[in-house]
Amino acid sequence: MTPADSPGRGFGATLVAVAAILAAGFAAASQLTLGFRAWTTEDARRIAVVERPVDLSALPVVTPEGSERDLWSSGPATKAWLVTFIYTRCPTICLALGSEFQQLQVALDAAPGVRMASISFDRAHDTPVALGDYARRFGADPRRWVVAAPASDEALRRLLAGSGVVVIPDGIGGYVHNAAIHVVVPPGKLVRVFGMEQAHEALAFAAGLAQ
Amino acid sequence: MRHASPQAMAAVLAAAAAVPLAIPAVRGALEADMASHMLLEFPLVVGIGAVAAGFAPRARAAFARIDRMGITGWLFASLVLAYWMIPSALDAALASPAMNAAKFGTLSLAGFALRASASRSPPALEAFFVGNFAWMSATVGLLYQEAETQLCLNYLADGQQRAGRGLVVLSIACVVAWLVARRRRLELGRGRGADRPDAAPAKRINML
Repeated sequence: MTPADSPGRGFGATLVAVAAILAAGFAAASQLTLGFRAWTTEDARRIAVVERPVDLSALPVVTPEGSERDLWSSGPATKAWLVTFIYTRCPTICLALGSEFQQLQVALDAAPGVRMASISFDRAHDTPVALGDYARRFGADPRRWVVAAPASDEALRRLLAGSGVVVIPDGIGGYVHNAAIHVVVPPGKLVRVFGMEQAHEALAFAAGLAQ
Repeated sequence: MRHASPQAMAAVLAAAAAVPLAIPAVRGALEADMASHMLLEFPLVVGIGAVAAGFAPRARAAFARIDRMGITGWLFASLVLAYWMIPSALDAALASPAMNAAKFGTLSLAGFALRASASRSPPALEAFFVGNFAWMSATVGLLYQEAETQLCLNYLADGQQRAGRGLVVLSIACVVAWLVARRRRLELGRGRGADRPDAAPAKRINML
């Protein structure tokens, strides 16, 4: 018999172990869920960005019109970007989004300094021609709404990793990703992430920053 | 060598499970789907830990000193399993090799702890933890199925549905498995009266 087996002894050590495990479990879960506020990575990302804005590195892009050395600082009048991620082959859901963005583009008239950027993560397919077709389909005015793709795989990787966007194949030839509206201020600071259904809140927030 | 053949069998099975898990391509395939990640890989790793416990009598003896009535091991296993049901924990394991290593480490330790603790835990304590786990995994399974969005960045909605249904099945299976595994002791407890559950001879032998 070990001391732990004899009646009345050994419970002290067990109680200490139980307390330590409870404390460690609580700490681990609290750390993962940002203090029990977020159970999914997407929720955690949105909360974390508010508390600690993320510095995205410079983003060289290609656009239908040509190339930009850095999207974020292209155009001195731009004070805030509303950024979404796209791939131009995207069927139904993205079409609905595209037309919602058409309406948002109109609303941008009242918010000087705010521009929209739809950035493709499908570099293999989204050539300047494909990006141009997409921009025309939704009537994107390049002064208001830039449709672009990162100029290199490395730039794309850094952008996705920095903003916490994960793109996975949907199993039927397309992609699924944590779609959201990202507010980015020059020279590339991600300050807020809104849900796709919060387009007008996102615009109001960005307009506030641009004033 | 008294139990050479069942032990050897278990060791072979554990090795047969552990070796593929060490191959990144196999692990990647298991983790590519939410359901196989949670319902195949997790039980495999827990099982490997449980088998390993059979080969580590010293570690079990050391653990016994802080595991009166098995409460420490059952609590540890419960918390580990609960943690890895959090959607963002699954994403974190896929995003970071360190988190994935922590997952393998904690799940195999949970298997070790369950095996070690089950040799000394009274049925009432086991019933509490098994019941708690069943309740939790069924609830999580239903939540996975109810969710209107993808809960994990890395998993599609259909895998999430399958994982959700699998967790509900698992919760029932665990209770049934526990009842089957403990049927003797549950009957003994009833026959001898509730005041002497500790006197079950099988338990004394297991503790040595």
